[in-house]
Amino acid sequence: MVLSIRLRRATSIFRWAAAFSCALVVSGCKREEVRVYTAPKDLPPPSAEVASQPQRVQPHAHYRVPQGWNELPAEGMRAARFSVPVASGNDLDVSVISLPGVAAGKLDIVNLWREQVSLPAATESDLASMSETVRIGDQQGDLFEMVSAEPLINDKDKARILVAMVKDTGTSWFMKMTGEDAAVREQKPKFIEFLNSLTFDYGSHAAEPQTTSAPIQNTNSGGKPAWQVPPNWKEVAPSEMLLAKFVVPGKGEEKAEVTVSVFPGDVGGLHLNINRWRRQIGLPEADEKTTRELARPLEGVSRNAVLVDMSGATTRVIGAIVPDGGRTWFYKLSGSPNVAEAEKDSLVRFVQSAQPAKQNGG
Amino acid sequence: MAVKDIFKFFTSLRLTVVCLAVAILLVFFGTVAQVTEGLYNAQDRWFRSFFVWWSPPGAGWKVPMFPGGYLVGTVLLLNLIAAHINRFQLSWKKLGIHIVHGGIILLLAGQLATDMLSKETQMNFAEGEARNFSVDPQSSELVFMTDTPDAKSNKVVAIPDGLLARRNEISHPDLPFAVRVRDWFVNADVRQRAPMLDTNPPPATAGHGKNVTLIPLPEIAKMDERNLPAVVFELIGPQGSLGTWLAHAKLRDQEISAGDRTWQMAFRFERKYHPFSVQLIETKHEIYPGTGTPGKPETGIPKNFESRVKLENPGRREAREVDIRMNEPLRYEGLTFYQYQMGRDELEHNRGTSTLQVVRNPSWLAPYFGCMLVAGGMVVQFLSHLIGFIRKRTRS
Repeated sequence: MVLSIRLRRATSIFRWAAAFSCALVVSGCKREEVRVYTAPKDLPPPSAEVASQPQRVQPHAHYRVPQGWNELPAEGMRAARFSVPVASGNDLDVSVISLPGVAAGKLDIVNLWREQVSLPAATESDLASMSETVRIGDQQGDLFEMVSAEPLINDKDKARILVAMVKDTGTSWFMKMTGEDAAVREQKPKFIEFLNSLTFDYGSHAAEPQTTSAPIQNTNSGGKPAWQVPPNWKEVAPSEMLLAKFVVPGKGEEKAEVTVSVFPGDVGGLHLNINRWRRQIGLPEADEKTTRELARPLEGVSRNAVLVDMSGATTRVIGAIVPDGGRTWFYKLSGSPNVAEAEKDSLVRFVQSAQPAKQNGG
Repeated sequence: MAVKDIFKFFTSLRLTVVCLAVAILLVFFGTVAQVTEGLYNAQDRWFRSFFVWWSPPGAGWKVPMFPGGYLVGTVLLLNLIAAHINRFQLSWKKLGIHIVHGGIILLLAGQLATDMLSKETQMNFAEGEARNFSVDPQSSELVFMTDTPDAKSNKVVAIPDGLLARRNEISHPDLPFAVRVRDWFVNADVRQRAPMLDTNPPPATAGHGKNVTLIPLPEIAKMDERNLPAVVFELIGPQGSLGTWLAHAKLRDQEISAGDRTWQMAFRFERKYHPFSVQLIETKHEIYPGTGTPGKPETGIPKNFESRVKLENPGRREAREVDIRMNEPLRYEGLTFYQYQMGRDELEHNRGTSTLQVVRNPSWLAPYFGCMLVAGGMVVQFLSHLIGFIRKRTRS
């Protein structure tokens, strides 16, 4: 009798325990199905309170650009980029890459580049015989040279890579030239001349640089500001480091383009960025006093926003540099002088329209 | 008869001993397995399962080789309940025993509930950045986002990695295109295509995938590293193909025009949004004096990791600063924020970064109450014996 009462009680408790366990298992199981939800846009960049802290400067390089090399805007991890024209049309690619605190060993890095030219991985014992010592600024660095065994460029020419590397105050610097075997061999003396002229900088600029690499790493994570785009601007796909790009047609063949990018920090400051734009349109670099005069306050935007208007022989650049929290926004209108003149007001309105909605930027 | 036998089986003390012995072995093997399988994989295989399955290399079948954590826990729980019912006596003398059993049952049930209902995510940011979401680094999702009419938020259609891994075609009424998965990589890296050298075709015909090279990598089991999956897929709209696309966490958001709308596409860790935001104000990494290299605290013996954050909840008109440090988490809105990792921004060395572990565990109080019940029950039982003993001596 007692056992049957206990059995009844036990059955009921067992049922309850089983139901509890099943409910937990079912509720805990991850469902593999498409989710649809509404989410707030990503939060704005750092608040004024944090932004008021001193700006930090990215590591960058100063150098002398060898004759015949064309400087290109910095992009991604590349702190400086150049192209060297080659008659065949396959221009050489030169880049300066800075990697703070790289954990990988020299062998791993060399093998990474050997893989690019389809060479087998080297071993630690091969390493010493593969490099030569080269002067990089006032330091001794290693120069590696590797050439593909097979024709890799258009199945016609062998590929050659020159890579110099040096570690400077915790940052690894890599200088790399890539391209057709013969052309790279021909440019090697200029590449070494370029390496000799390099100096690395991790702070503010006390001395006037010869020329300076632009900042790195666009941290934009996606969303564009809800700006008002003038009707005659046609949006096109931006390249990797741009947030947006527009083409502005003019009369006949004339045209201009508007690019928008955003980078962390002050990206070297006004002086360096204005000089970068000057170099792009063939103007000589200006001193700090001149660049300060060139930068006119831009009303209706954030504090310290400036507008710069410069004309080269064939190209005019009108650019807005807008510090915003811990980041800096660059709006650049460049192209035919006539189109730039006609679009100057549109650019200003465009920049102003972007400001309130920049809260939506990622 | 059969019910009686089953009941008798579950009341057996031998079963308790066997379960405890199996549990000890399970904990040992499950812990050792973490070296090769990784923490989360080993937890799922050994503890969050009814059986530990084994399959010969290359075979398409598997056999159970050991009882899993759920099976051992469930049998132990049933054993405890059955034994308690069988020997239950409603008497003040046994009150302590009942309380101890109640505490153990609560501990077992609480652990099961924690396992099933708790959710761990992470909040990772650099000084100055704010987050209103945390991410689950064990799950990724392919998201398609488009503006909502108020322009302040996004409508998000998220496809979990588990669905993508099946390599099927995925359609959804909220998407103007179907996603036909061409290839799936559990771990991969991407790098910019080397000029002139990467002559193999790019992994995609549209978006950023045109400009990168995809490098498949083996799955990672280490705790301090993460798998970054990649997926190659074709978008099929009403008018036909919209190209082949590559999605990977390292690629910036990509834009897709379909119909009259523009969609942003990203591959990211699964997000959990919160009705409040947390901004990282300052990080503090203290080491014991005399250890480590000056200026490089990471080389010393850690004394304290601390994040000062600003908590803002517009719904409650709340804005305050809080310090979160080792062993001193922040508890807010049913979530617990633990200091998890600390580092420096890869590109901006002076900028500290912090990762907070964000845990939602509805049954987090169960082990506390369970332990209190066990301790209280033991005290009650001890005192009842002590008082009885003293009375007996006094009378004699």
